[in-house]
Amino acid sequence: MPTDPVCGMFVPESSDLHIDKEGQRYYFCSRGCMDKFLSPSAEEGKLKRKLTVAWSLAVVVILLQYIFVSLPYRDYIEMILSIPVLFYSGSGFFQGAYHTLRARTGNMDLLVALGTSTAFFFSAFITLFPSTFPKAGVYFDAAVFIITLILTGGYIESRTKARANSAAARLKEIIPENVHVISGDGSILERKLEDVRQGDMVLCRPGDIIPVDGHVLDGTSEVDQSLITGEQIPVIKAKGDAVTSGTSNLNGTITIGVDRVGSESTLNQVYQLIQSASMGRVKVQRIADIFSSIFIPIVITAALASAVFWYLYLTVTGQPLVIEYAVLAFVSVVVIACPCAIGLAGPITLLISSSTSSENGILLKNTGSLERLSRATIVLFDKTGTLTLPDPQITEIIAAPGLDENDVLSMAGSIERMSNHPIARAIVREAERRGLNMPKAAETVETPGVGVSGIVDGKRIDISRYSAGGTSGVSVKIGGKDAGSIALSYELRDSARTSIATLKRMGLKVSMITGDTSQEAHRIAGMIGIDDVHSECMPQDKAKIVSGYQEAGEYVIFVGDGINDSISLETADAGIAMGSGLDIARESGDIILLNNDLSNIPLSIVIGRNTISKVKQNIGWAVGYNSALIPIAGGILVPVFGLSMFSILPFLAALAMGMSSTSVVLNSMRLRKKIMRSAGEYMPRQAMIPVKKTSADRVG
Amino acid sequence: MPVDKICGMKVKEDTPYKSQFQGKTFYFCSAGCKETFDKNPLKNSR
Repeated sequence: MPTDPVCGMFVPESSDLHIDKEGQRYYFCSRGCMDKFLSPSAEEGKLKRKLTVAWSLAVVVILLQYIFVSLPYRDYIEMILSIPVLFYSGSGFFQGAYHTLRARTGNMDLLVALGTSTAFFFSAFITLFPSTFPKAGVYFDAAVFIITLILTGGYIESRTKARANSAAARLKEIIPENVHVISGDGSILERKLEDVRQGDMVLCRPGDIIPVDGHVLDGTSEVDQSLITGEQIPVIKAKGDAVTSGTSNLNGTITIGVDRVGSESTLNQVYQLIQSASMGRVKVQRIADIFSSIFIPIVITAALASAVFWYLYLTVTGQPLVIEYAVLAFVSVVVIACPCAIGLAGPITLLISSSTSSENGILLKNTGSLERLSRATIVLFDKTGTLTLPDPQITEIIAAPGLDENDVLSMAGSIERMSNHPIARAIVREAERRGLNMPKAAETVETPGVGVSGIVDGKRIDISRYSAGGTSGVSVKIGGKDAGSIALSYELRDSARTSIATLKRMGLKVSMITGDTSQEAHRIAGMIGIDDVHSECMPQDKAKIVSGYQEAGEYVIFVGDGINDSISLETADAGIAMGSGLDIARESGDIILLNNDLSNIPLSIVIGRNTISKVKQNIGWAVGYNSALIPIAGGILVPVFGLSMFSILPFLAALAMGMSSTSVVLNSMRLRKKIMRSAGEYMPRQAMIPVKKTSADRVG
Repeated sequence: MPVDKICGMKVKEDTPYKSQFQGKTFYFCSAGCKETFDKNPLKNSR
């Protein structure tokens, strides 16, 4: 069954409260939720006007009811003043109630409409036909105050929710409307962002937000990526480097070739993922769903039961004002019940969880995985590109007599340009960095596992790869004679060692899976404190190992590369992918680490555990609140406080209903602090600071 | 009434979309949900 994207309640597909937007159909529990979704700012303005009318008239009604008691035609004046409050300020409740009845379901609007219209029409009847119940008073004050207080509660809730959604809101705010595009003749034109296309050239000045995903064509600048990756230290971007939308250009002018823009840009994808978090579901929400589905009939039955009880009891005991107490009991019960708080318990927590995660560079693609993340017992790491940086670094170049380092690098680069092997890419990158000329090679042949050869400037060049004793590299021959060699090594990521220690402190088992030889795998595992090692594995073997652990009863987190390890990431209970900075939507995994910081793995587990416990707490609170207050509204405390409590019960009920959703939102907002506090317990501050690399971190 | 393990919808036991795993029957609302479950029954059944 679909859920309301605003309040998270289940809505049957038969409901006519639905809209189609960007290829997806959204269902709503009430008219109010639909309007909020369609136009949040217009809805807020409308709500403010309704609140102004409601409060100004409600205050007059209260004064008439309790202070100017003997004013002539008092009941008629109150009735006339109540009409705009009910049917203008409270119109949303009646519209929502109409739609929910047509769909043969129930929602909060129905309860409010039922409660207020009972109080209003009962009072109007007494006003117009005073002889029917000669001793009865009117309760217009109850009707108007219920509407006013619940609208006020809704207003506070929407303001609090906007704060909860701050991370996503910040992302949306920074998207510039206009950008500077360099046209074919070199002139700079200002264009709307939506008119920019792939292949355009965009000029980005210091202080500008980079509006598109692309690559630097010209210029150099430092770029602050913190809003997207959570990483606080700016990075230098020069010609050829990829830049991401939503990052901030600090101090240089750069020209960017546009690769992705609009809905395909990273900024927009991150925004969409945070926003859709509230529509995700975790299993514990099922308790809330069951409760919601039977809630409305139970409340209406309870309201009728208490009205009938008080009618019979007061009649039998011969007390006055029988009808009024029965009506007030009905109104109080109907108004105090708040299905919205139950519906909101899961979605608002998931939204805050997703928002907190994204501030740390953790992108939750699938909120359902938070539950599995919280139950994890073992973390399996891929090695290359996960525990180590994806590309090897050159550590040493040896040149034969008569040649220098650059000669060797230039010749090797000419041939290696034809290959996509990580070693080849590292050699070409270093030759480019040194500004070396790499003459065009002819007749190049790559033999997997051996190397590459070809002809450069009429001379035969052979590059053979080797990997032994913890080092790898290439030896270069020119015209059959040894010309030199280039040694390379993979560097461990900064936070590998500390993150593994943290995971162990959290009580998790840690294991490593790699395609490397057993000797090499154990050497690296030993360096970072992993005992359980699987080596010489093909990608499909990795997924089988994941299943093996699952069959043994473990809950498995697999951490790997979002493109190459997709099978294992999907098989695991929760897949965490190192972000390649490419297309987020196409990467596998439930969670993507945008800044590739391994200390975000323990943090993700902390987020999972705390989010699930907060959802449970919220559901417990909302269900408990409703279960405890309905009997009070029904009059269970009358033996203690006397029948007069019914004169204030409808107000207290409206206040409680108005604030119950806000209290769920406020409780959820404590999640952010709770996550940081429990992360601090496992990850002392010094452990979070990247460890300076030593030669021991080079892992061959 | 059983619950579709993938989408959380309530489904009737006479639904045409069912899977057997470890001696238990799992019910689905659609072919899509059944397909997702069958891809990795171990993960999706718990």
